[in-house]
Amino acid sequence: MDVHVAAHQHEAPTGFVRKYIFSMDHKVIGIQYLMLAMVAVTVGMILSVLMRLRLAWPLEKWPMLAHIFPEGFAGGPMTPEFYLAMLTMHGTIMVFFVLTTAPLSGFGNYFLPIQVGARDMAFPFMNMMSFWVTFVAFVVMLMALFATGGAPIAGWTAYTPLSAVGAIGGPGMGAGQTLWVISIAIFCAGSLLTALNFLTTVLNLRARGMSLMRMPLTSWAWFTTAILALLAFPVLLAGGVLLLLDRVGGSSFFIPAGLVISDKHLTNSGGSPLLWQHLFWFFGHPEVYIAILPGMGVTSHILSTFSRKPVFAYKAMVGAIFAIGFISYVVWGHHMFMSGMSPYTAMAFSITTMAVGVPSAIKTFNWLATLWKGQIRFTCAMLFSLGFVSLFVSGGVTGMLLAQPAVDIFLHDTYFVVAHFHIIMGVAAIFGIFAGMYYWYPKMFGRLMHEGWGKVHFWFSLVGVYCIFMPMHFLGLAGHPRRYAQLTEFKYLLHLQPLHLFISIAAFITITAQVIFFFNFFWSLKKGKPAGDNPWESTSLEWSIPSPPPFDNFGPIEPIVHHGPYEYSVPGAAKDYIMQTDPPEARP
Amino acid sequence: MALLLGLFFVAVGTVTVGIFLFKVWWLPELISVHGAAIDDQLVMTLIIAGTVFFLAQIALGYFIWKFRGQGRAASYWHENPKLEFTWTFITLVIFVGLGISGNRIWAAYFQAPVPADAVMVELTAQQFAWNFRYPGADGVLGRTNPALIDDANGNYIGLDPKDPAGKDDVTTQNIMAIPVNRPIRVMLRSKDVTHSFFVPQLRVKQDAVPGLGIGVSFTATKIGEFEIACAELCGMQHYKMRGRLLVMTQADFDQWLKTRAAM
Amino acid sequence: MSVSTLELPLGPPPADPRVSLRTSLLGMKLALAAIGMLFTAFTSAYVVRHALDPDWHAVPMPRIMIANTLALVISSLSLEVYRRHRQERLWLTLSQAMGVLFVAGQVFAWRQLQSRGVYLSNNPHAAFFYVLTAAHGLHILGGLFALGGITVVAQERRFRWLEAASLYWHFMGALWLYLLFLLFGMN
Repeated sequence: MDVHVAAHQHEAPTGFVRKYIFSMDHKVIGIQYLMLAMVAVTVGMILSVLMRLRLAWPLEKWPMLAHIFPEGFAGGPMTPEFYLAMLTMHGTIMVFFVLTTAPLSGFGNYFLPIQVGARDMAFPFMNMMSFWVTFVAFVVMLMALFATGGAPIAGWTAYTPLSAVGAIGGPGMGAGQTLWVISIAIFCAGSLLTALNFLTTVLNLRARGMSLMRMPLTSWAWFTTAILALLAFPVLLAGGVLLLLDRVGGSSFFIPAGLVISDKHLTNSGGSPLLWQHLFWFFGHPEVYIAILPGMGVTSHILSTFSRKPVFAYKAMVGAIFAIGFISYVVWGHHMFMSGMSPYTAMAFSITTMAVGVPSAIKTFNWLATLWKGQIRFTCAMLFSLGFVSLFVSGGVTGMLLAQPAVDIFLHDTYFVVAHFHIIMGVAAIFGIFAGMYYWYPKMFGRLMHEGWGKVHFWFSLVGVYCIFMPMHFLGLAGHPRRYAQLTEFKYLLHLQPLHLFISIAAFITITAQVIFFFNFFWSLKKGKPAGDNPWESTSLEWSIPSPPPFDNFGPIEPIVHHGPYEYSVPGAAKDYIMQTDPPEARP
Repeated sequence: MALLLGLFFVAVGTVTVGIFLFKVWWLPELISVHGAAIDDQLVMTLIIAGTVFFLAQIALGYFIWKFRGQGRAASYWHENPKLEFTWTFITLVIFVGLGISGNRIWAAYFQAPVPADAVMVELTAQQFAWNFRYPGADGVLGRTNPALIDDANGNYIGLDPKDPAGKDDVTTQNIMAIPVNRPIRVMLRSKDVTHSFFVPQLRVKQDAVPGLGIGVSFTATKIGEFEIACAELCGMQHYKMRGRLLVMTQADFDQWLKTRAAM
Repeated sequence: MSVSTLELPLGPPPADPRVSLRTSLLGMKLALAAIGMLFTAFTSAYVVRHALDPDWHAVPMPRIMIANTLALVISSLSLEVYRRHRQERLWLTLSQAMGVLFVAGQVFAWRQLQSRGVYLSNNPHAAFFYVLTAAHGLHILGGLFALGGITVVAQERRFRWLEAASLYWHFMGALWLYLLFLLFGMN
């Protein structure tokens, strides 16, 4: 067996380009994805600052910004189309290039192979391709942001026919929207390669003794997420291709007959706007879980580690992850209750949507039960995981309202929905990413992040996100439709302006506080405390190897797994944790 | 840290629930018959969701404080099938129960038969205006043809001048009058992109999809002026797509139609 | 009984991906699942669009596509012969040639339709015809690249490559028969 001991599937590269840029090492690729996500999240946050400016002070003039974006501030205040462009690009960049790339492709690439005891992903070349394809997608998306005629304004959901009819639909609907569709299609291809790699790696490259039921819940989450990605992204790709053809090829997949836009008669006929919604949400709902499942995995892992207690009900946790993944394929219609879809279909989707709440609730119970009689250590990673649980509950319970078509008649497309999905798939997922970052940073870079600054960052983030998103529920209850550049046109909304002001100020403070994180990240690269192999006294395989890990992860030794992933505080054991690779005797 | 975080989660639970309980910001007033059931269901679900939310935040806060690692070793166990089964079962009952009760109200809403004496209104949405049409004295809407749409000359919906049934049709833009306490049937269309007809006080929302005709019914119970908002992103002036809804007595409504017809 | 105390059989040592046939085949199967999903999505769009459109006019199948189909079937069969008896290079060459012929025939079919004035924009059935044949054609081009690689890649990868490429190629053949049925078999 010296073949596989000696030969990593490729020798460690020595040149800079092969080592850091076109690297096939899953660890380098993981960091590349994380860097991409950090750039993307910065762009996304700047866009949200611009949006919040407009919402808090709709008609205020910003001479300095007008200098930077002369078209966006034509005539003084921010134009409504610029607001919608910011909204569209914020949603798209955050969902695709942050919430999909960081938790799945970033941490997953780095840690999935190590956690299951593999030396690399199954297909390293394909892995490198997946990153660079995603990178190209991001560049194209940035081009859409600066396209002639402006960035697209159709929202991240790009509902047809608005998104299909071309420049006639409004500012930004020409080149900007076309680039948007192309970027999304490219992104699909990159994500498929990632998903393929994850699945093959988990199924075929696990170390000796690493049975499926000994995998950490993080690996389970990445595995399930990869299944979702593998089957969901092709559907978005198909939709994207058809949308692109409607835009540039003159076809009518999504454009019905007899449309008259701005007094111009279109010649298309027979297309179906609802078809796009079905294709989009068939992808879109699993996508929500693609964003949140890795966060659930990280949270389970970290809660157990820092409570020094086994994860409560590991098997139920695995089952719940799978149940969520499976049910997420049959709930997409709950985005379409008011779309004109058959109301009978809505009833079926309502029940399946309620059903997906059950495994989600199970996970919450199990997290609380994991804390019960634990011995909690308040590290930054733990704080963010606890924040995740709180946010997951806050964002989850409102799903009970939105899942009912009758209640959704009122709440659909109001700020209530904005509050719901931002809390659960936005900031809860982001808290999962932060938890993972504080937890794994020492493994990736060999040094700990500064815990003190991390805690400051945590408090600003936690209080901040609640101040931003809780009030949005009240906007929604008052009937405030989403995606409005200002509320001043409607008398029944006027009394809500102070809430917008409050939210904007909270957003500015919270976003500014993220500078602390970025500073901590880069400062700790050089100045952080040396981490050692296992600073958190964790059990999974990545903590059994040096920080940062060598090129082939495990050196000359083949890892052999003897224990489950969460053996904390085993009575009678020498330490309060048994690593998965500890000899069988470690367990008394 | 433990105490602070624990208290914070307790505070999140309490403050949020408090704001809901005191209705600091609340639903706009209700002015439709079917809306009462929707509001009841909404409030009931909100109470259940709020209870779950409150208890979970309190428990989280309490556990964090109670089990802040001091001294004692952590307990060791992996599972408790009985407990797991119990809470799975309870959640299942609550969720599916809510789903079913919600579906009953939904079914009652969309299956409600349209009475013969319902006032028929056709609504054609466009970027960024609402075009209403009433059938006039003959009770029949005239033929329309998208090819005849000519915004520049005021034919927003493509009314066919050759059809005699269309002669007495009453058309308005951005203003919709309806009689109080009478069933109304609105047929929603769109001539360009997808819009959504939303009158918060009526608890009515329905997308107007190009290529489809979708009906909604309601009965308004209060006289007054209300606002029609667009709830589906339809382009740059989405936020301005405002219509006025005038709910009036039957006599006023008849008069209004007459005046409009003469215009 | 807790999870960690379960006496699970220790698996074999992880095979090196470089020499693992199993890994290649699994990866290929997963890729085919994704490709299958792509065409499932196209199919559902086709079915919905067809059902909704009163002006749906089916385009008759260009005759040459019978020959194309035959070429692809022969290509698949000869590749299978080559896979089983790897000595006969001729079978592989035949398979590759038939694959190229298929592509050429598809291009010819496109041009034939275009010469009849059938475009993406003026006929929804033709639009689907173009989309589906183009999507399939791109995958076929990838397949031809894979078939060409069989004799080019390093010796120790050749076997894996052949096995995975065969799986892919047969899938593309079956997918083509399905598309043919979808486009022309139900009118």
